[in-house]
Amino acid sequence: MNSPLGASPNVPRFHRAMSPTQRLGLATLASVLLLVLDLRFGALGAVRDAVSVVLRPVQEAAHWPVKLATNGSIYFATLAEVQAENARLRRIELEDQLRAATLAALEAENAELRRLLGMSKRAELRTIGVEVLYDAPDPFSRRLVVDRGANAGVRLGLAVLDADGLVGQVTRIQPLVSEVTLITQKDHAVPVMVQRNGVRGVVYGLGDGYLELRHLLPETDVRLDDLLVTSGLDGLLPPGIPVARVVSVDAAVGSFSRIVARPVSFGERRRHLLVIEHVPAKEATVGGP
Amino acid sequence: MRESPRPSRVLQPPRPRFILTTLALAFFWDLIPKGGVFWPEMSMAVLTFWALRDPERVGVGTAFVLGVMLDVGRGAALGQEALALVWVVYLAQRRAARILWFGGWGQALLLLPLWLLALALQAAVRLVAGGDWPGWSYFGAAVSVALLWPMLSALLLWPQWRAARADGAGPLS
Repeated sequence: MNSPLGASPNVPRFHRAMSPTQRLGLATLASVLLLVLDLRFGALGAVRDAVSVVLRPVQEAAHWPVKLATNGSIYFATLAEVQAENARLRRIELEDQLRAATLAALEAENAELRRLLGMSKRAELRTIGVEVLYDAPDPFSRRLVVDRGANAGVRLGLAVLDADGLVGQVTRIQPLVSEVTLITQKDHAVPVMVQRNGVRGVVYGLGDGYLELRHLLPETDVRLDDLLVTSGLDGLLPPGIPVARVVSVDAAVGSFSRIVARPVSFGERRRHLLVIEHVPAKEATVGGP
Repeated sequence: MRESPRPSRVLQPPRPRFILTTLALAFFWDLIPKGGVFWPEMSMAVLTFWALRDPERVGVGTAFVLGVMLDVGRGAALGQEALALVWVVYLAQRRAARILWFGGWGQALLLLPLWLLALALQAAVRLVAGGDWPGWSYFGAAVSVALLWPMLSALLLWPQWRAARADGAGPLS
């Protein structure tokens, strides 16, 4: 049995060297140090990766029960095959739907950009269809784990959509899976603009399924039911993806008005999503990914 | 090795391999993505059991290593589970004499505050760092561990009883 406790044979010696209270103090200090480095400075990617290498086989084995449960029992082997086929087709359909939906907007935008700037190459969108494996088992954040990773070309920061709009962003990648942080995650920021008039702002996740549009002056023209789309100002998300619809505009509290919006996507409930990579025209000419 | 309240039977010391195997199984269980908050945290339960029953082998160091591995495995903040488990083990071992004097349900009742503390510690760390509030049901994981405890501890003790009978001799002979 491959044990996860490689260090435990050393523990008894460690025991006798220090009193229990000293050991507690040392371990507490080490934990807090790890937490500060991880949460405050995000400095432990290498440590995480190193432990992940050892854990990956165990993790993959641990996903088996879930896969079995979702695919039905072995008794329904043929049904499982049909389901796999169906899933694949649905993924393709989703990709097509989205292409069709964004194509018109992209064409119009592209024509205008080319006219204004004399650009010769259009921006390219590369898409990767993914399937949600499960919610990340961490109750303090809203993340999904999807079935494509670095091997399929998923990269950090890429946008993840469903057929209705922006779902989230890729925040951690492994070779075979990647982790998507939902836009509803508390304090997750997305630069947006009001589709109607181009007013720009930033929406932040509130942690309760809603988003708040912040940093706008009270006189800014934002109305109920306005559609917020990505502005593309962060250089990661392609512009024009629907993000949320304004559901309440409160009169100014202090010097800012409080504007709450509801995401237009159903990402948390959809099984099939799309990762899209926005390859700006300049990079696309220099040499593709 | 601490004695059970029942004097008619004698416990053998647990085998290190058995300790490792049960901890590994519990760890594996905790890595299965189950979706839902009332699933028991088996690593915490099994670790607590061995911390009480074999404090020479399983202590704060084991808790720390297991915690870090759980944090990586579940994509949580590195160190949160380690911090929590370290305190559970320490506090459980300090109260071991009193806790082991009780039967399964009494032990569960005495240990429940420690498990709740472990979850609260993790919640505190993550909320300070700007995480989402997971809702009160988050603490259900500790309650389910407590409900499972009598059965679990009986199960984990069983091989030691059997060993005593198979030898046909207690430690006094």
